Amino acid sequence: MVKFMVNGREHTFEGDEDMPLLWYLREDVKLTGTKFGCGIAQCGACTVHMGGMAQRSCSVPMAAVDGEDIVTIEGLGDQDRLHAVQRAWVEEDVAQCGFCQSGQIMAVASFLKDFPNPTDEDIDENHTNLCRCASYARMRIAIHKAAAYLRGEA
Amino acid sequence: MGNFDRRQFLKVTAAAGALVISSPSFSFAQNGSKDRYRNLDTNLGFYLKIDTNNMVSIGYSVPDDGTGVNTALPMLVAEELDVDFDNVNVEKLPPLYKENDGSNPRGGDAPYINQTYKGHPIHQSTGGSQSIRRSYEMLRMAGAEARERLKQAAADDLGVNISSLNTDNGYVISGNQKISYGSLVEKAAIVTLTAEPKLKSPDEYKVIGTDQPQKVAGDIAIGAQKYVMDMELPGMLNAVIARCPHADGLVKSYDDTEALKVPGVRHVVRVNRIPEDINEQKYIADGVAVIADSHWAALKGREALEIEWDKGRWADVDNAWIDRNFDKVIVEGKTNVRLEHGDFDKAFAEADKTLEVAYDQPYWAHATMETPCGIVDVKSDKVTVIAGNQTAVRVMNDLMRVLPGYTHDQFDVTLMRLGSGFGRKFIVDACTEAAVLSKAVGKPIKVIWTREDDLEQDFYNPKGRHMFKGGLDKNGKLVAANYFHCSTDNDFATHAFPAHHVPNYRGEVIDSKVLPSGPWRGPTENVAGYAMQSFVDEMAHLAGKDPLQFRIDMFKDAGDTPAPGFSSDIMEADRFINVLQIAAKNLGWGKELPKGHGMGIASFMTFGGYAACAVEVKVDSDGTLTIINASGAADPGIAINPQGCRAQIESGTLDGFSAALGQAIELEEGRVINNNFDTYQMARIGTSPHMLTSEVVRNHIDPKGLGEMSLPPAIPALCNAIFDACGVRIRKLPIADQLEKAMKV
Repeated sequence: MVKFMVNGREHTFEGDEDMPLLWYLREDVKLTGTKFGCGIAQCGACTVHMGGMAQRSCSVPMAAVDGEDIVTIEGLGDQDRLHAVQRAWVEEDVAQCGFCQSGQIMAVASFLKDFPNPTDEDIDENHTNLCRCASYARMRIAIHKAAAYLRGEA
Repeated sequence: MGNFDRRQFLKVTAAAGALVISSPSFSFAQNGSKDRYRNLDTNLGFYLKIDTNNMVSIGYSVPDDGTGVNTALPMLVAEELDVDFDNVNVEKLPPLYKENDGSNPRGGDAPYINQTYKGHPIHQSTGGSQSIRRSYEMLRMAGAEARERLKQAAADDLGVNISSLNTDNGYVISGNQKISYGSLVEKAAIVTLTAEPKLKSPDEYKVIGTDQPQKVAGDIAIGAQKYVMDMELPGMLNAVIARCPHADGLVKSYDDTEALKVPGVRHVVRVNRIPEDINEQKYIADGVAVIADSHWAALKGREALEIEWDKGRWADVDNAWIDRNFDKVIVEGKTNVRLEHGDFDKAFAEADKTLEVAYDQPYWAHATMETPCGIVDVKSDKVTVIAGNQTAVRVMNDLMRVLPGYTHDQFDVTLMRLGSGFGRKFIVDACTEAAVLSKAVGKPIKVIWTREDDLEQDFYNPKGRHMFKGGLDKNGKLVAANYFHCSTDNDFATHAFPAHHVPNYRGEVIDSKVLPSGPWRGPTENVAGYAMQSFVDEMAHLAGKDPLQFRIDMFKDAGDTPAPGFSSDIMEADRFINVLQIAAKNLGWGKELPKGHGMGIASFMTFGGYAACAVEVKVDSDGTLTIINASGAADPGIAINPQGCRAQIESGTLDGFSAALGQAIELEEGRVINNNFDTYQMARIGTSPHMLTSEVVRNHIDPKGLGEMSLPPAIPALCNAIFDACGVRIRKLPIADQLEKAMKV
């Protein structure tokens, strides 16, 4: 049996421990904000936080989540209390189709912990999520804006 | 005008304290007929609803794949209704079908077509950049009708003439008196209008032309936006399908013994190719489905299947084979001359300077962010469908092909927001597979495609070779051009610039089909833009002229030119020159550049919309390419939501760069071998320019669209900039490592 936290609540899992965390989140507990994009940790649509850091949940087997503290997009913020990254995303109208954006936001929220004042080059090298609509121009602006919010500059 | 023709106008019913406007055929009176509109009493009604507390909701009929129609279409209604758009709720309307009565010339022989409103089909399809164009007048009419009804209700209450009343942001204004729309809705539903409502003139617009964020932006940011893959039906099982990876191949034999042993696997079902005729393009690939309690169990079951494939007629085919085949058909094949004027052969022979070039481009996959997915429950008396497709009507029409005996009254179709489309999701294959499987096992079925499924079984943008001969006269004018396009399935950009701008021109095309193909953002234009605008650039350099001025001179000399085709009939020179100049100005065209930097420009008209792109790049001595700055400009006609328009310019530009830089389908034995994002290279933020300017022209010309326009010029602008920076001409896509190789020499 695997025991872990999701969005502050205790979960236990007794099924096939080869199953990726992504499908547990989406099918077993209906947290569908985390998306499937490639299944091989290349696109980042499935990004969640484990221990506060971004992980691509399509490639994390359930066996590996024992004792972990997992946060999904649903646990990052809500409509009334948006996380700084979510707020910047809405203000900059980043999303187009939106399907990759949960993963983008989770990845950026984690990235900004390591790079609180990122340069464009930091973003280029470290933010590797795929957006098929190529919303990268607004995304770059929103990342800088979210960083400023998190530094308390706005 | 005389008495207002009720039959031609909206029918209004008061329901649940809301003003619900519907066209006559949607009303309860005809509920028993085949024309129907579900849940009229509780749903939005036709386009809009106003609650007694003055809350305004506006429906949109077109599925949104990211182009922002969820916001732009309701803006059209809100404009005429005269309400504060910030406080408008929007909601996707359910599909509105009717039996094909021949009223829509675009309906073909399909059994069902879009409902009509005032004789016009209600546009319910995203694609062809036509969502705005096909809704512009109709949705404003719906808003104006409601506004006039509210005014008439107020006029009756106050005992004044309707002509003395105005409206302002959700209120009818009579002198100093403000009456909320919400307090008038019940009366407004039953008043009789005596005159056809007048539409505003564009200079009166208060909502149209304002920057609006997407209404769904908040839901997306918190992960609350639902897509088809997020949906379920009670008792639903999950399916994945092992489809023959060889194009047009078949299942020879299979063994499901081990698959059926996987915990959670319930059924293994053979899925037959549609259509059966192997010479017709596949709609559904031949395969074997594994149906299980969970997606994961289905995947494990699929891995345990043992299948022997009949590799089919393309078993020897790879990209080199297709290139050799191009070589062959170019020599042997009979071309189809699409446009000819002047005497190309003579003019080319007499030209002062000539150039012969060919541009190759590969197959591209759609790789929609959300892979194809469909949910269908086939019951004896009812078919429930949850789809993520680009057209409402086609979902049902296509499903009826595999569900003979069902009538459209028995269908309950929900269309979700799309995790991108780009043309891929016109094809209703995932839902069709789900319908076949649901019928086979008697349970609701969700079919999820893996990324490998998606890249292996796509309807690709065709691979092609574009050959040009060009001749300049002594003044450096392009006086002779021949465009010969050899393609695996493309249409031909017959009237694109510079077809009518060269006095001696011949445009011809030849097809030799291999992989299944389908529309991909700016179909035909996407690759014609690359080829034609690279060619024009080469001719400008051959003439020793500034590539921007060379183009402007050609537009000025030719003036407006014919452009008969989808969404266009004429190409206006002034609008083309304008977008070129805006793109150039915003980039700083002509400014002094550091060593290794270069600028390129291109423009293209797609579906009647004008777009230009200018790019600055840096190419290091080792061939490392950096896109420094990009500038996109577009003139789609009136910009409904300029903020959304700019998003599409940005997206089209960067999507074009992504395709140009790395995307190419690789084939072996007629199967796609780069079947996931580790090998099918799509751009991330790291290859996107740090600077990107987008500008949409502001005018009052009736709108075209903008979803596709900005991609065709982006690719050649990038290639032209590379040439300017380092002298290497990109004559084959993708760019990939060509520069590294060229700089080594």
